[in-house]
Amino acid sequence: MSLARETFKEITIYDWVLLVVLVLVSISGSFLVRGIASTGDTVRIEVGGKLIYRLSLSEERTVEVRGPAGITRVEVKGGRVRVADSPCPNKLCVRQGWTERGAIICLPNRVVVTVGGDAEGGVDAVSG
Amino acid sequence: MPEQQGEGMKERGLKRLLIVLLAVTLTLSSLSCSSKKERMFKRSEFLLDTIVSITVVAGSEKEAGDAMDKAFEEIRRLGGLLDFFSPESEISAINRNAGITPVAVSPDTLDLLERASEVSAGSNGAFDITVGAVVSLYDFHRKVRPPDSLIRERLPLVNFRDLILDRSRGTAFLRRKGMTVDAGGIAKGYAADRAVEVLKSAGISAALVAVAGDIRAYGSKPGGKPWLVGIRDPRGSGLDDIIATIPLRDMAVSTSGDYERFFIEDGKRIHHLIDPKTGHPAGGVMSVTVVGPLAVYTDSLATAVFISGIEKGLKTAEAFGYDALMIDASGGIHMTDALKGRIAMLPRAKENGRR
Repeated sequence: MSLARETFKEITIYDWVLLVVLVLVSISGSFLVRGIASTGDTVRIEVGGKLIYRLSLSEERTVEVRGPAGITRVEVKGGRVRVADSPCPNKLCVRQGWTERGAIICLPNRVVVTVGGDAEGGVDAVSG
Repeated sequence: MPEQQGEGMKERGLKRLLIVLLAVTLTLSSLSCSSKKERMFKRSEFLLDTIVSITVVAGSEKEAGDAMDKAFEEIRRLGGLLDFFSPESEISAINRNAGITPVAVSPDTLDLLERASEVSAGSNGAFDITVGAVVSLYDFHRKVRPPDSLIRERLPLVNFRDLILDRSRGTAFLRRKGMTVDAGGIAKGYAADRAVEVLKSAGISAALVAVAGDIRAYGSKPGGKPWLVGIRDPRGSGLDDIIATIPLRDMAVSTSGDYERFFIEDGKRIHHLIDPKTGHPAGGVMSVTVVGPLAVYTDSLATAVFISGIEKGLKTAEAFGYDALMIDASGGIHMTDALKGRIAMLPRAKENGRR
């Protein structure tokens, strides 16, 4: 009996189980990774490049951070985040409203709020 | 006998299954622990009155951190030389001595001013490094537009030909009193280029430097993919509202738009892209994106192309060997031929109900 034929003969139900398990693991693995990557559910609040808060997007919370212009109030609610109040003159950050991905930047008060690991959602940077 | 054999095979099969599962688990865990793999590291700092982000591909956090420290330091140093608002900067020294005497400046400042003069001349003054005399009359925070009489009075002080650069002596001189050099439309791109040089000499094989919207990338991301840069929707709700994406390898990209600094007066948008010939905001265009090898040119050309308008603008970019994407006042898209197919237009953000 050749080695190949012997090996083939010895394939049992367990080998098939193994094969199915491996296929399932690899498929679910790729879905799992994609899921983690796209639903960045942490909110990072930085002031002047320093991380002040790391919050969960699913937990309702309001925090205040102090920048050079004063106090910026950041609100997390219903899986979204917004700058509720800011001491800056043009209030662009407040006007941006609720966001569930990407970043809110307040230049005058040096505050950067990002949702998830990838600040701009899929791209490495934004020109504009 | 046959039954026994069957039992034996079953048992062996079960053993084999366990061994293989163990082996697979070990392989998977060792894969996830391998630390030699190149990864991306990103950091942002507030410099040049804006936010600067650097992303590098490196084998370790230390390697990435050391290189980024040097690159941020270089941008900080350039900011000290070029800051229009700081009395200690070399730009301020040139402006103070306008009409009086040539000022000795560093090779960096001279280099930047030479490129600025080149773009000023090549764009027929659509970009003018001396436009500061008129632009400084506008206050976009307080929504102040200067009266036409004041603009007319200042316009003669705008002329890039009256900036005299002497490479052998290392000096810069503005011919007439009251003239001002404002590097704001070119310094960010210049800084991105210099940061890239610093990262390269620190041994970093791939990186992306974004000085606000002036971006320079080189090399590839881990896995060999190009860097992907989004182009902001000029009427979107924020930075993450993008209208197109462009993959970049060893390229720079800059965008100028009427949404960056502006206010609305009598239904008219008064924005910061001032035509050096009229002293008024240039019309007909919402935003311009320029793509090409160096950020010092994409930055300044974005302004030049915006002010030139659609037809002349595209020609200006091409004359420099650069590409441009323009969005006109009614949202129409125009681009240089070489850009078609390289840029991916996204469906407008309208569907998201966010406009």
